[in-house]
Amino acid sequence: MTLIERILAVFLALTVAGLVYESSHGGLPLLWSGVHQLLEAPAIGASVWLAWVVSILACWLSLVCAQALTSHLVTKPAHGGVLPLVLSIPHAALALGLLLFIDSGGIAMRWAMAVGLIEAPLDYLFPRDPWGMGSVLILVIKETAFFTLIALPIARQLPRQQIQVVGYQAGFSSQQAWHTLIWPQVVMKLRPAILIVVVYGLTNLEVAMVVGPDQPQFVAVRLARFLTDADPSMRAAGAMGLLGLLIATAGLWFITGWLVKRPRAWWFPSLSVKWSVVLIGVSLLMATVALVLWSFALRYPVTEAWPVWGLPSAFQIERLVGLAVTTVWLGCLVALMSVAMAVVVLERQMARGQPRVHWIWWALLWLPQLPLAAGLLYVVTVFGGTPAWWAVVLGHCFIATPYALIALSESWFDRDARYQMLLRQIGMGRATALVRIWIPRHLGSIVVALAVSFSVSVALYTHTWLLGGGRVETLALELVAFAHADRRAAALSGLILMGLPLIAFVLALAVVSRMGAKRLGMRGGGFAQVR
Amino acid sequence: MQSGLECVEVGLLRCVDVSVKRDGVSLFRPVTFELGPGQVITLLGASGLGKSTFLHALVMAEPGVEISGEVSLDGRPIDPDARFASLSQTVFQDALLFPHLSIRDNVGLSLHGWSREKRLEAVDDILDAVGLGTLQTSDPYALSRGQMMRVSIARALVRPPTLLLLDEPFSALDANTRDTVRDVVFERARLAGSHVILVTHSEDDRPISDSGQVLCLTRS
Repeated sequence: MTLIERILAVFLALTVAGLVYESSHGGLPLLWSGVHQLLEAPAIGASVWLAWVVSILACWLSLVCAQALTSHLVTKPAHGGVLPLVLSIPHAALALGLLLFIDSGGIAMRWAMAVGLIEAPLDYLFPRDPWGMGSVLILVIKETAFFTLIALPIARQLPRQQIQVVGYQAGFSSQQAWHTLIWPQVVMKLRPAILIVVVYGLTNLEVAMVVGPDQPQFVAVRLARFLTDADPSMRAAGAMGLLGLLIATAGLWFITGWLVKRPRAWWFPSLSVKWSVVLIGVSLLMATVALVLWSFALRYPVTEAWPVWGLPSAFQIERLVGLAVTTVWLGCLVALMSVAMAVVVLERQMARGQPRVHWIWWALLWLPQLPLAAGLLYVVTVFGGTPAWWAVVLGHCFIATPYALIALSESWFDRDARYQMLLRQIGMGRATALVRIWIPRHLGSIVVALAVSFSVSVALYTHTWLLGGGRVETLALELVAFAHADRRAAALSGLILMGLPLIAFVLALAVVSRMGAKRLGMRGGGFAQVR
Repeated sequence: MQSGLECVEVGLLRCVDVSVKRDGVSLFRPVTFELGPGQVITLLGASGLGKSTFLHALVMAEPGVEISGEVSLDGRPIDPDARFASLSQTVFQDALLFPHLSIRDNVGLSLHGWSREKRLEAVDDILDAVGLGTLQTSDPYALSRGQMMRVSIARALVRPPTLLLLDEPFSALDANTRDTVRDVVFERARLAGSHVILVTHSEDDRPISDSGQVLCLTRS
């Protein structure tokens, strides 16, 4: 473990200590009172049960959809370019867009009335349903893209052609061979990703607050409310609940380990790739249309197919610009810090001859966001600080750095050891080599990692809300706050929030392609020449 | 005859002026041979000549790869799409076991539709034959490379195929085990009436009692 990783481990231990402190610093009476508050909270058991069912169901359905997409994309890499863009769309923006489109008073219903399919809006509860199925839908769309992006390189490393031969000879069709022989092998290596997805589904606030359910709410939403209660015993109850979530996550680590040791093909029913594409494509289209329509709607009567158009007011524009500026500078700062940290960590690992990322970085993604953010807040408070922008930056870096490491590690570690020998022989120190050789060489990956970290930061809700204490206002906070109050304000925030990561990725790709264009002869057939 | 060794005898495998083309270029000079049930033909030749590609092309179509000449089994020409996939089993140079399946499930992969008892009987019989009857583990990746290779051989033999394709199957085995396993493979193939195509670099891989054919492939 390097010094950086030791500091990180201390920080993680402090966040847990912070939760323990909050739940017990008032002594035994407060502890008991907190336990009572937690256990006697109405329908708390149902909240816990619902959160687990939704997160596990969403994870399983995402794996089923990812199986279909991966089987298609593994031989057609050119078709997979849209997946990073799907992944970059913030959960909250997608949730709001779908809510505005398919809700019982949504755009779909207005269009159905306009063409005479129905006379009045149908009364149903979806996606804001009491069973959390709306949350499942949002999670499946996003996590399918996540799983597919992780599964593709794993599947490409397998000897697929030979496996297909064995499959044919055993009497399987091509699809059966994929389903029975290849996909379970991919799932065996998806354990970290599965844990990330289940933990996110279990403890995210933004999707739960936009599409529900409301009665009861997910356990994370209720614990977050406990944490911000004026009553110390309620805060103790919240901290205790979060400690329980952390313990459950540890249990989940062992359960997923056992499950992926020998996955069965029948766990993942075959699904046509068309259904996965339709589910993701149509959902994204509906969400985008809804956000655009509501963003430019002066009024949108429920009986009309189209809104009365109108630009946002000067006040709205001023507020949005302020939010967007905060979101962007926060994202840029976090991206720069996270990528710088990732580069230092990776170079340090190379220097130690250990080209792998330490597990402690993955722990930042495996730990539920809410306990992590709340624990950090307690650490900040204990050291005399108050929620502020620097605490938000710190919290964002905790989440963005592992993603920067994921984006950079493959190319960074793919380095011939003889280069190092060569650089030593010419007397170049490590720091000089990093600046003059390795950073320029990996500039393409670094630019992509910056875009990834920026996208992660702009979408973060929990850390911004808790560590900023409401003083750091971003588009994600505005969206969630106004999702059920001012649809236009929320939609405008959602639209910009959806656009920012796209802009970041387009810029990154433009830079990478410009760098590629400066090199001649890189398209095969001949030696490369550098201008 | 032991369980699972039903005779699958069919007529001759005929290859007339056969070669393999990759992107329109023949990989080796056309060869002609006939192979009866239970017989073995050994293909020798330098690395990169297309021996493995030929075995592969007999089983499945691959973009850019085609078989030239005439290939037929029992008088019926090879199906351009299905090839001999459903009639054959292949032992690759690497064991190619499936880590998510137990050793028994790996061996019994082609026995779906069989009753559990019959499947276990056949699997245990062939594992015994290749010297793995006393395995203490069900995890294929807990085995040594040689043991993994023997599991792979057992998988190919558990339901005797019409066409047994062996691509340097014994290269990972020590000399003693190789002799034992080699005898099991060719004896079972002979009893079952399988046509065996063996690709190898080593004379030691050939059946001891073989009076069969040896073909040296040469670059075209």
